[in-house]
Amino acid sequence: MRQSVVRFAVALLLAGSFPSLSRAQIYELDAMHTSVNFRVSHLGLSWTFGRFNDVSGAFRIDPADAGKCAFQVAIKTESIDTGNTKRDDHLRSPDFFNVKQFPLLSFKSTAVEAVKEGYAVTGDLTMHGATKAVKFVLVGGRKAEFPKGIRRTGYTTELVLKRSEFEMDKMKEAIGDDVHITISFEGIEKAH
Amino acid sequence: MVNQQRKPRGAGKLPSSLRCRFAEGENAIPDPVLLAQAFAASALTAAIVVWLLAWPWNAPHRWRSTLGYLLGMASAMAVACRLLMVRPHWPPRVDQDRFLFVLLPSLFCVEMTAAFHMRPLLIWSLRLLLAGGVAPILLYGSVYVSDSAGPGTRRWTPYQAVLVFFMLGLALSTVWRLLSKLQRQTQSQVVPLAVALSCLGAAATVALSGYASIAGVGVALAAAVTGCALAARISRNSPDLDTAVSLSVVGLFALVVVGRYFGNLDLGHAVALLFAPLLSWLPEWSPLNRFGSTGRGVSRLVLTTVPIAVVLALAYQQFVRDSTRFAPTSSSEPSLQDYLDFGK
Repeated sequence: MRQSVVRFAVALLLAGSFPSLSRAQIYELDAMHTSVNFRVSHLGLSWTFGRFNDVSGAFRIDPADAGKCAFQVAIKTESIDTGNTKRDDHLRSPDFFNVKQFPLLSFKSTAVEAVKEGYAVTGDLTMHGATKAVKFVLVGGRKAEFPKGIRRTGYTTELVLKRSEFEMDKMKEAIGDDVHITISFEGIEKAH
Repeated sequence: MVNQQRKPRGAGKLPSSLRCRFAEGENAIPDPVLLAQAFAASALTAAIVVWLLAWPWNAPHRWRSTLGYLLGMASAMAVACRLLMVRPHWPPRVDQDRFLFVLLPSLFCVEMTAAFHMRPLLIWSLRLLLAGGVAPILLYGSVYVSDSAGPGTRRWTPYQAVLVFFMLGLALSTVWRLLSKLQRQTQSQVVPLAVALSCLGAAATVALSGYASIAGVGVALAAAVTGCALAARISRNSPDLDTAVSLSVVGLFALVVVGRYFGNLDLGHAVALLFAPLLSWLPEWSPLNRFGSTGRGVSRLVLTTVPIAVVLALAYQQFVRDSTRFAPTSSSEPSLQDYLDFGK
């Protein structure tokens, strides 16, 4: 229920932000085909992999004018999953994500440019209460109708964040500061 | 892919023996040796500052001894935080930062005001006001009281929030008033030591409950109060330790609240840790009051230690159970101790 409220609010916000653009397409993230995965160094020896299981959001694609594209994503930090309950509990604690204080990790684009592979997106990432500008390239943009009547598109990107820049700076000796993130998502076009 | 782990910023500025060493495994607990070193350095700092401010005068004015305690405790906490690499951030967005940047300065202002205005009604009005504000400040902006995860997501209704904050404020006020009264009645260094002991126990229990980085704050608190008690012990004029009791009680309460609401501290453990120092009252009423002051002092510490030790043992058992539940069975795999020893 809460999820759908958040999704609806996000979609509405995006739609309301660009009411006059008829050629733009608004998509809602398809949670089933969206994944936010990350890996972080453990003792400098290996990578620990994890993901967030509750991701929602929406985006707007304007094929004619990339500057009018927009992306917005919200991730529930509580949904972190590294395949180990005890570790997940610790990652939820104030030593890391502090999910009781910062239940959402969010991204909102501020500028989008067309590039050869797709879109170069700049935006504000809010994590652990701190907001920083990040930039990444979204690769993809192919479209498909699946199942029949449901139009969708998808993108993938990779980026590296320093968690300490978001004031998540505990235990950097053991657990790497650089967090490698891979995001892949599909969106379902909303009917006009 | 080759991992190029960066050296943490600032780590090189400290002697290697004092660098914060954390072991990461199923959970992460700061190195006990480092904690002990930080405790000793911090307590010594507090003792020196308090003693220096009290020393030149046979009977220092109350405001000067209060100032000495406040400066001593502030510098002791700064030393401990530095050694344990507790890095507060401004603006204070998380509980630890709000404790260090909002609550402690507020407490210092209240205690300084109390030093100038001796009327108990005014002093306790300010303290009660602060007691009522501690939990709301620590939980400010959290999922309990705000819709930070989206509209309608706050966990407590306004009515529930008021009720919870009232109960928490009442609990803190009760413990604070009773321990302050005991301190004034006995003029003993044991009362703040009992609360410092509880702070240490609370910090360790909360750390074992999944909020490891709070241990540094708990050690800093306990060390600051212990240093003050030490200075009062060696001082000729034995200044009043009411200020140290106030700091330790508010600190203990803050540890328990953040452990409960941001970590996974068990409710029963939280209650036991908060009220354990009140057992220091028992020697005043029971047959123990036949003992001399030293005997009563020792019995106060022992009585306080018992519930803390029980809670700590239970928390440790749970920690080990949780860790081994997910630990590999092969003997070639690292144990919890291996993680604790990593980097030493």
